[in-house]
Amino acid sequence: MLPLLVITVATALAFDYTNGFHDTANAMATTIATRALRPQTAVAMASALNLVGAFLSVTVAATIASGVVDQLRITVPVIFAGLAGAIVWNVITWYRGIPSSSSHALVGGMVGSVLAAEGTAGVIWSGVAAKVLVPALLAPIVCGVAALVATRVADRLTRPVGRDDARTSFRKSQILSSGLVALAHGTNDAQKTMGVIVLTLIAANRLPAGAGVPTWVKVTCAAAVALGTFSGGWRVIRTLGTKITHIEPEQGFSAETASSTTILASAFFGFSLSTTQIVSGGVIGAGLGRPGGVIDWKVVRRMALAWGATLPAAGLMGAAAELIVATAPSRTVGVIVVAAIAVAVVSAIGIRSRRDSVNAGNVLGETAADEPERPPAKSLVAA
Amino acid sequence: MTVLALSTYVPVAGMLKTVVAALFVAVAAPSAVALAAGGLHRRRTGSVAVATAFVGLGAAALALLAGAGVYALIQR
Repeated sequence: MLPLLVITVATALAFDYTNGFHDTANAMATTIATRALRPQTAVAMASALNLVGAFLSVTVAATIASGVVDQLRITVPVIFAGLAGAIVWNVITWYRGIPSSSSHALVGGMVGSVLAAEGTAGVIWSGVAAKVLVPALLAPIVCGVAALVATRVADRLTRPVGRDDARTSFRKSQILSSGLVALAHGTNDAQKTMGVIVLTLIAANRLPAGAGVPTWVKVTCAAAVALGTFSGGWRVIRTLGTKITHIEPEQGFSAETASSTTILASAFFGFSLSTTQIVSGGVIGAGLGRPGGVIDWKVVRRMALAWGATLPAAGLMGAAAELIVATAPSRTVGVIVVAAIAVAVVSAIGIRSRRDSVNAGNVLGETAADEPERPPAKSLVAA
Repeated sequence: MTVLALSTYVPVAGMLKTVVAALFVAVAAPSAVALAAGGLHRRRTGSVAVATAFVGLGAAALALLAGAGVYALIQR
């Protein structure tokens, strides 16, 4: 049982790491796009704030797994299979540069593995609707409208001031607004992995039911999400920062302010949302709010398709992983086989990604924010 | 009817409060930055004391909003 437990906890931390690098864009894409901060500085700041955020809330954030699957039916190998599915989907969407939800990948992976292991009775469908489907529809709209309003207000109020002073102010303020998003991300997402590890320890009888989060779990999860964030998910940053729309400092500020408010207010009032979808909605809203702003709807459509596909795709991967584990000579052997397959797939994607490497140096491509007059986003978007 | 159906899946009251908070900040935050930008502009064209007051007020309003955000994060 111990090797199984160790592998599953390590897999949860690996998921936390992918969550961090996949979601660096949430806080820093617009800040990097407008050159409010240098890419490496932005990523380092996001990493530090994710680390702090992971320790901020003492209550265990409502774990993404609770209320979605029946915890009494869940076992360590089932949790492992769900995590493996979520990791593989996260890496695939990262490679494609798609800002999809890591939380939804986690729910999808868990639901898939539980479905394969226990059938439909193991899944709490009302929880899936409440935690994933309804928020996925509402959150980007709420944030998008707020970002649109903020962009219009910013544009209207700064007209008499002059472009340079306005942009200087919004560029500096962006550091604050994006910092809040990074802090909120650390609290939300690191806590989800903490919840999954606690669930694993309870399933393995290493912790009593209802136990709190051990300190070592807090520390390792905080470190994993911070390390992942520091690695910088440059592909997703490029999509969110440059491909959806052309972002000026007032738009970046508006998008991040609307995002941080939506994330923090929704958490405060009792329901959790996907940080990624909120920020994406904010960027779209800010793009629509700028007079003459253009959105590349092809990129948005691709993103929306990925959002819709995340739950079933991660679910299928989680289910496939569980079936491999269940049909192996022993569960431990099955887990090792799935872990080897997952490592091979992730490594193959990693090697392939080096062919067209995106990094701090080329993340903005031709759309450097300090170029004085650029054409609108439509013509900037790569096919 | 729609609201009734929705309320079975999401806390509608909390959601409405989130919308109100988001819209409030969507107006307040850029206004605060615009105030600071106005201060920067006045430094060149008007009184330095008034300009500094504008920048200070804008920065204080932003700090207040950020403080409320951190409070929400800790208190949830």
